[in-house]
Amino acid sequence: MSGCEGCNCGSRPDAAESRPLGTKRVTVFRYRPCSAVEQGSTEPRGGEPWYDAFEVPYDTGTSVADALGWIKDNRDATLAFRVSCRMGICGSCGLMVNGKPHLACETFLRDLPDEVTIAPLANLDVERDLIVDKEPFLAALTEVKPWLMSAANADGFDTALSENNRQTPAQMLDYQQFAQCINCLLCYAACPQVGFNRPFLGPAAITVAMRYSRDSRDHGTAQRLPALDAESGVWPCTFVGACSTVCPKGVDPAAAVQLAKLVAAKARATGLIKRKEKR
Amino acid sequence: MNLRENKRADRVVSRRTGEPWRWALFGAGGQVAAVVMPALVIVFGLLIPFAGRGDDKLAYERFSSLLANPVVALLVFGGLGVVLWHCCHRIYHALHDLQIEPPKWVRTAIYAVAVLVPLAGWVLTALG
Repeated sequence: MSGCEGCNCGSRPDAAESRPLGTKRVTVFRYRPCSAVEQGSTEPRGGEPWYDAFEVPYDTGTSVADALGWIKDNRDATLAFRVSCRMGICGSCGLMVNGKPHLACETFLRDLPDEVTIAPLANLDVERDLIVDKEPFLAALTEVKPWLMSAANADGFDTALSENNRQTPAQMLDYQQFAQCINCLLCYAACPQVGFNRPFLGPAAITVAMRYSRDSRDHGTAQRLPALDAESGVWPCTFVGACSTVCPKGVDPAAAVQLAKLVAAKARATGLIKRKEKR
Repeated sequence: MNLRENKRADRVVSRRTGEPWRWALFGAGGQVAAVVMPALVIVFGLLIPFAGRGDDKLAYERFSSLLANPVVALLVFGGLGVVLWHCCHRIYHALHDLQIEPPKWVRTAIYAVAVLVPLAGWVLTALG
């Protein structure tokens, strides 16, 4: 039987078969923390990173994620990396391909030079091989309270359907772009300030804060301000803009950060006026 | 304390700084430089002298006499001042981007340039 039922893919000559294009030399960053290497273990070494090179066959459809899977299946089963949806929506497979942040599932060997170097995302701590520690980001994300807050119940979710929660298409456009963030952390790997200044909230967390604060149904901006208008909040950003260049979802985190600065500065000014009125 | 707890503790730095004010002036300077100044250059630098719009022979005298008014001079030097502030703020943050962390007096000196130069210009214009 050619092709699938009810689908015409079998009628195209090259659809079902992949066309091998050759091999590429894929050099992969490897790391085991000291604590992971137990006495008498066959693990090669602990504490110091090293690189392993593999000749990986590829065709027109081989992504970097596929290449890593091929290495794990055929060459070294101890290689550790994160991959989940394979379609650029889960945000798991971010890594450095030849020194630049990419999603492994959306980057294809056919588009890369013959020598490919794969490393974990820059500016983040490495747990094992290509796996980075996302905990500091998750802590930052929690700090900006990424949920819709109603005026009445500022600390919790407002699931009540009310007339107030209706939105016009224009109101939706105010935040829709920022809602496309998949938390893949490519922007953290690209941002020099994340590297210099570890307590920086970072582009994605600020983008998510703006996604909620610009939503007409949300009343939580005041609750998010202590995190945003802190020394480690929006202010370490010097508008390098690399976050927006590398974003795989077309989100503009740099714009979100500038909007957040405006929100924080305006709140500071109105706070000053209110304090004077009280006197 | 393990590494993870330590990093969480790092994250909670809630100290407020004077950065919102410095950034607001920086933003104002950027707007003036990007929006207001090009329009002024087109009108007074190109259209009036070269396109025959307005009486160009009297334009210089009229504007220089307008500048003698201290309020007008304050607006002009205030406008130029925020643009200079924009430049100084950017220079200071570029030092950070280059991983140069200067002592505090350098920051004071950089921002002092942005305050004192337009102030001196306004005083000299108002006196002259």
